[in-house]
Amino acid sequence: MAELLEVKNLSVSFFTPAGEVQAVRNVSFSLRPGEVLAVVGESGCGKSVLCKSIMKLLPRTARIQSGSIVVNGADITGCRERDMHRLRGKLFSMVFQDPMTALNPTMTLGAQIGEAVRVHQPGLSGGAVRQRVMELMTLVGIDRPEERMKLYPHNFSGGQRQRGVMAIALAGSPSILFADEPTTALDVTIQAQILDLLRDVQARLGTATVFVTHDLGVVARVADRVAVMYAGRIVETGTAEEIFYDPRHPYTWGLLRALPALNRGRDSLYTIPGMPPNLAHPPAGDAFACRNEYALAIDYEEEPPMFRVTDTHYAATWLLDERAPRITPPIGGAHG
Amino acid sequence: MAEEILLDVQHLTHVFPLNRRMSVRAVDDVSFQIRRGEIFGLVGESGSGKSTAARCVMNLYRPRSGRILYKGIDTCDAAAFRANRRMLQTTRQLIFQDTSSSLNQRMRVWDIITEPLRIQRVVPPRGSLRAEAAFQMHYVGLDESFLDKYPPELSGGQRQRVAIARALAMEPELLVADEPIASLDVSIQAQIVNLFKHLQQEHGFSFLFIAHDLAMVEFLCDRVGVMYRGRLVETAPTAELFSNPLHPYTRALLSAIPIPDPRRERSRQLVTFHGEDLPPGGALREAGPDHFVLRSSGSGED
Repeated sequence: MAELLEVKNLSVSFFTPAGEVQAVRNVSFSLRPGEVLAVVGESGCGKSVLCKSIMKLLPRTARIQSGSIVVNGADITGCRERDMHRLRGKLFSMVFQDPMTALNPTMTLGAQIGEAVRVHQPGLSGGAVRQRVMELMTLVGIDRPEERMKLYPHNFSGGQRQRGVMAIALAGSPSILFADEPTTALDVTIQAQILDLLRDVQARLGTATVFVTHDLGVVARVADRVAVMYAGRIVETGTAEEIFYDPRHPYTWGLLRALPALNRGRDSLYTIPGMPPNLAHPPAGDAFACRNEYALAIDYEEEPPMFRVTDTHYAATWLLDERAPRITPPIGGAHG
Repeated sequence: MAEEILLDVQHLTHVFPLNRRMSVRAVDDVSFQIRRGEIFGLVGESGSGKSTAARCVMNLYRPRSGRILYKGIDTCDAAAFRANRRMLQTTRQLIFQDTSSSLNQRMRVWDIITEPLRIQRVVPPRGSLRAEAAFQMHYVGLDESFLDKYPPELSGGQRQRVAIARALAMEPELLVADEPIASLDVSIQAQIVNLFKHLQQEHGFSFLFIAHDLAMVEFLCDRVGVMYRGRLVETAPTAELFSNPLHPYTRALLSAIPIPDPRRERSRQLVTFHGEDLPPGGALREAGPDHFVLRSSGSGED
């Protein structure tokens, strides 16, 4: 199948007074049309920077050091701002974490969605824009759109606001939707509804979605494929089933074991020891080695390559090397 | 019952006036008790009044009606409060959700932790204020190298530990934690939850733990109260509530917990609950041992 988005060996650095911070290091992944890819990792692992660098929304202090971003067969790595402006919204758009800061509190929701519609279809008459706004609001599950479009963001609950933000993001019928922690600020019940909505919209419009989150628990519902990020690198990638039933990387084990649902009846929750490394001075070898109870001597010297488990499942850990000792993973296998 | 009741909230009601004509009943006739050494979880969606209830408990809001008895003292009664002011202000402590706003960015960590001691003019039991701060830091699992740092230099989990250390500096008996883990990463959440559990088991602290993450609540709490639109709709021991939820809203809430298993998760059906389904009035009725459900006065068993 043709790849919609292909990122190859992407490295992004921030240049700060304290020196160069390598936020994204040598990341490669691809996205097919209509697919949901979840990017999972702790805060500061570079998952948001990855999305923003694809959309070219990085601040000036950041620079793409190497690698390429190919969308629909066209290389956009070197695109200037003017060209990007045309791509954003049509080709890809973004849903942010906090719907309160993403919306303008002084404009009605209808006006904000209408603004996005006009940008993408400049020739539209007022009535047609109104029609399209109501269509979009219905699509994202805001009922009674004729009344609701005249309301301001503060009239809406958090979940409704996030639906509004999604309507704006979908106004240009993008082929790729980046959702950066869209449910983190929401309650469990609302979170489940928004996840279902994401899934529903993706199925109806065929929009490919990159879903960024720190919570592996919410991924099971929406994702076709999962990429686990640690310290700027993708350390494991596979289908949702492979990641949940047969995880291979010790960091993925740690993330799964920290979930309370898998700790029922135990006295304390599993925690990953230590802290993520400082990316201004990434350690030699595997960045996860010092927190990894299964670390091998080579982990401190050389970075592991991506080892192939199946055609869709890859993990960057020396444990998959044929010379590595066999260990019993602390998790997985049981459900399969 | 043999267990001592530390906090007894009786028919608490708090109303926020919006304008001359309208007002919001943020907390409506809520009653619950916290026993000594117990972690009581208060769950519900945002806007259900759980934070307001916590702030009433901490005397930050003056409730419209109802009583809050802490160790038998009515904290809403001005005379009783004045008479026991010092005890009430030191043995109850609050931990907020957002540490970037609850810790002063311009104070060093050891200053933050010992500020309550200075305010209450407590002679530091371990010699100096700095030694006291170092002791509390160890208690929450941070080492002394953090003492001279400023909050922005710390990660979210470390800042939350500093906030907990500050609350512990007064050697409280009741800790009120208002969504202390909502803004943290999953692995850091686990660390903070383990810390709470340790504080309860080893040192006998009592907690009012407010959260919307039910999976964590199930793991941490002894008893849970479910709030919806200002009403307490169900309260029960944790195991009982999760295995036998009686109120439709509790069922909806429980059905929304994500399961980290793609096949089961995708077949999971969400139970929905609409506000119209909750009739006004009604009272908590006993449905089992220590298990209470809100039932409207007319309706029988469902």
